[in-house]
Amino acid sequence: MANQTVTEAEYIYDNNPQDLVEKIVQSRILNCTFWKEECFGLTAALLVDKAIKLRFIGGVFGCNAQPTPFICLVLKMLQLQPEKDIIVEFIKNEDYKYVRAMGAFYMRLTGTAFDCYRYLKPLQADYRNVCIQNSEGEFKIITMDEFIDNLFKEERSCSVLLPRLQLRHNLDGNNKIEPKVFVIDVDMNENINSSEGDYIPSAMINKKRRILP
Amino acid sequence: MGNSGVSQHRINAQRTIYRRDQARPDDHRKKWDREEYEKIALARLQAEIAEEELGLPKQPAVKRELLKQRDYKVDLESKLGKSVVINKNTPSSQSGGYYCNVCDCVVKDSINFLDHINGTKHQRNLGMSMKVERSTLDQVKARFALNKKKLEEKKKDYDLEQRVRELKEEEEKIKEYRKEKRKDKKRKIDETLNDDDDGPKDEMAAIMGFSGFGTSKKK
Repeated sequence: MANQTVTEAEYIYDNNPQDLVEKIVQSRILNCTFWKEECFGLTAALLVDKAIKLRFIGGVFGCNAQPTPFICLVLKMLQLQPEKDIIVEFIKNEDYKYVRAMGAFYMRLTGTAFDCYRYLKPLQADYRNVCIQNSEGEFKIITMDEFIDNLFKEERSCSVLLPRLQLRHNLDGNNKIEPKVFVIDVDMNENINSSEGDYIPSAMINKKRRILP
Repeated sequence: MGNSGVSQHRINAQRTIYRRDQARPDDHRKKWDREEYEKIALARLQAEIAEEELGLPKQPAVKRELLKQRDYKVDLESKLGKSVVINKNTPSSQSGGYYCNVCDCVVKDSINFLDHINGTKHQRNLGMSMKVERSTLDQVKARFALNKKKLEEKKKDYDLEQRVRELKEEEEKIKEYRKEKRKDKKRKIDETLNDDDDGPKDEMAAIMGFSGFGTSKKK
């Protein structure tokens, strides 16, 4: 009962949002102690407390596929299906990088291609280090922009199959999306005002220019 | 009482609700018995009216609270590695396993215990439904702000503690410095006095590396 998707949730890709995470991973998560002890009865607001305590990103690891707290909280979000504004708030926050990573991951899973390009691309100017655990359980340090880039390029991230994304130039053709903003251009002219409604993280302004590979 | 009467009536009526069509005996299909239904409906209506006239309060539908997060950490390990003697007479709360005082039951292992306290039955006993509150954007924002504030306060406290510690250390240093000075002065006075008193003892002491025995008080 407690693990059902909320009744007012909308279907994503004609499916229960929880099913975006594969069945086997789901069952691993539902059976782990972190889920049972910590994730019970969470609301989107209380989820913030738990997300702040995250120390690394990761899916399931080891031969017995143990879930990480990150993937547990992502499943909780899929269950609760918070409003888009809340996800944007998660992504916008500057203080907690893992909350941002979680918001970005959720947005990539559930958001439309348009939203993904709009909200996630600016995060590629965030060069903070994040710790990521691979499927063997080894930790690795990558940067946030690498993580975001992987969300766009890779098929699978954190043991979750990412839904297909429309190509950007297809969206461009329909005039649905603003032209691509290159981080390097933004850095060049320092005086940007965010009054255009486009969200630009302060990291983009503060950090020194770095050429992306 | 009226309600139970109606339900009783319904159970009795169950068999007579359907009736074969008398006009067409070859038809095997069941037909609704309208008369029977009308009777039942009338009886219920009368019972309701009678109840209202008597002034009995209507029983409200059970309304449960929304699901809340546990504000305590589940204690799973306090009894780990301990042995307890259990007789036939020991109450179930003290026998082995995890005891749930809300539902008065014993669960044998930790995973099942967690399942139990997260389960519908337990939550119902606590008076909660399994529905979670839907939080708004403002609540999320407030939560972020709260956490940030907490962090800052912690930092401030830490700073304060450190400053107090530093101040104390400084004070102690000054005290020690003063003591040393006083001692030095005393020693100098001693030395001048001792020089007059006895030469050879002092020489010996100088070789051994100390200036006198016992207290540094003047003799």
